[in-house]
Amino acid sequence: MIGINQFFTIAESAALIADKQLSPSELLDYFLHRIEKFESRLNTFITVMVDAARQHAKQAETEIMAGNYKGPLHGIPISLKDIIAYADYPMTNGSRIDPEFVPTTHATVTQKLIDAGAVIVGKAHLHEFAFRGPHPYYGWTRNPWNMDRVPGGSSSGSGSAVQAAFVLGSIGTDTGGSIRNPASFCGVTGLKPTYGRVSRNGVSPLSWSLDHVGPLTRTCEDAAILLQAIAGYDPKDESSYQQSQFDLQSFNKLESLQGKKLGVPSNYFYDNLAPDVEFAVSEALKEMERMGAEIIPIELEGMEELRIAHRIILNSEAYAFHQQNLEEKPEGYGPGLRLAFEMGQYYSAASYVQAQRLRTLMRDRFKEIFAKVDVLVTPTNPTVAKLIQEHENDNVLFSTSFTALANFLGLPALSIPCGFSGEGMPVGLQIMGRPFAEGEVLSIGHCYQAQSDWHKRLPNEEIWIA
Amino acid sequence: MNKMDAQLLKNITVALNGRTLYPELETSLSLYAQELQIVMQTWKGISKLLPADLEPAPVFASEK
Repeated sequence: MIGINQFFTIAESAALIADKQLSPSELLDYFLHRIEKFESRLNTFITVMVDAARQHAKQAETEIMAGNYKGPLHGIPISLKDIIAYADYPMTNGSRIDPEFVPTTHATVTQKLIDAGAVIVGKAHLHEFAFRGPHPYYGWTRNPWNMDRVPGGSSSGSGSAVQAAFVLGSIGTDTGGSIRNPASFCGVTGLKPTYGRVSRNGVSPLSWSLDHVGPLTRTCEDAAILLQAIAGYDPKDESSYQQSQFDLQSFNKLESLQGKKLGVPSNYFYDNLAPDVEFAVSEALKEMERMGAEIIPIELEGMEELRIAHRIILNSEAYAFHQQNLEEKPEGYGPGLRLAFEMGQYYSAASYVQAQRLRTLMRDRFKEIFAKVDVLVTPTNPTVAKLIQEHENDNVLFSTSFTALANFLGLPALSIPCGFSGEGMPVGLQIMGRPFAEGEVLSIGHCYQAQSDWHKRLPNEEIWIA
Repeated sequence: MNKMDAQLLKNITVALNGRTLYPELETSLSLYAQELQIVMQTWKGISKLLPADLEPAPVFASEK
């Protein structure tokens, strides 16, 4: 088989497929073999769609051999978080509320991937309804770097499967960090696009005004390829922006960061970091400075208030969506999630409106900040992935979040690997940009990846078998 | 202000929504009640500082 290995990207595969040196069926077989060998331990899927995937790979092969190559996703194996509809296959949302539910139509994002020729391998495991943790029925997805540690969530199966080379990319959702957290903890690339860039039609909501759909991949280039396919205006989504298509031309393979202004917050994001995280991020910033970037310290005001407002909005909207099920069939939720959702009933309407008012204030403040800098660079998380046991014992409802800001303001935000802790766990670097500046965010991320090899490091597969 | 505790939350749920919370949730509920009180008090203070002419962000409009 030509050139396929654990570190294999969408861009590399696409080049081989376009040249007819690699067939989509051959590529799919490689990933299905890995899934068969390791999935029982890593638990990254709710449903593996072997027959449909083989059929779509065969179809892609026929189309390509007939000269109808559709582009860089044609014949590429992808998974979808199981909160995104794929017609005629169960959509569990990682819950026992309605596990037999089978959508009759595709989500817009699913249809766009199919139109681009992607091969959907299956529905990825996730935190139940994209919040808190996995339902006990489905159990934990494991972190490929350490089976005792959390993979991050809520797009847990997406992050783990990309790192384990079960797929070349996965589509996740992000309401407070659910793409960037698993990307950070599993050592892959994750992009939360601008609010309104990617349609949410056919995706179960957690919080309408904070939910985003986006890719998890090995590299920034792969994220740009996936974003181009899934972005675009959709009249079925109230929040969809008319000019939301993503032009791959806005993604540049920069060779230096000359002229780029990187804002680095001097407070909040760098308070109380785990030493290993602080070291890795600090080294990454030095590297970016060596690559020509100008580092500009930024004082951020109101971050703690923003974090509370984000949680009030999220809990209130989640409660509104889940109220009927909480009343009629609460036993379908995992206990932890049920209680987290129940808390949404105690916030007043006035609190919710005040939170939306703060959103206006913070939006104006960050417009001023982005007039001075091109992007903001922060750690994605204050720590590396914790032990599952430690996570389960943690009853805190409001934990520190470095990712909620981008959801609250709808900004594009990327997480890329920037180092490892002493325990061998990946550290994530977050790059946030102006609304609809995904091209710039991904270009800066690509430039860093071109000069570093953190994203190319792979876990030891033997621990998945032991 | 009276202390917010698990019993109060349970009473609110019964009064407002006509249902009970569930026994397996009780351990965490007291912790969450304390957190909720802190959050609500903090939020009350923050809300007073918002300028009078500040309007809520449009909930479902995309960033432009």
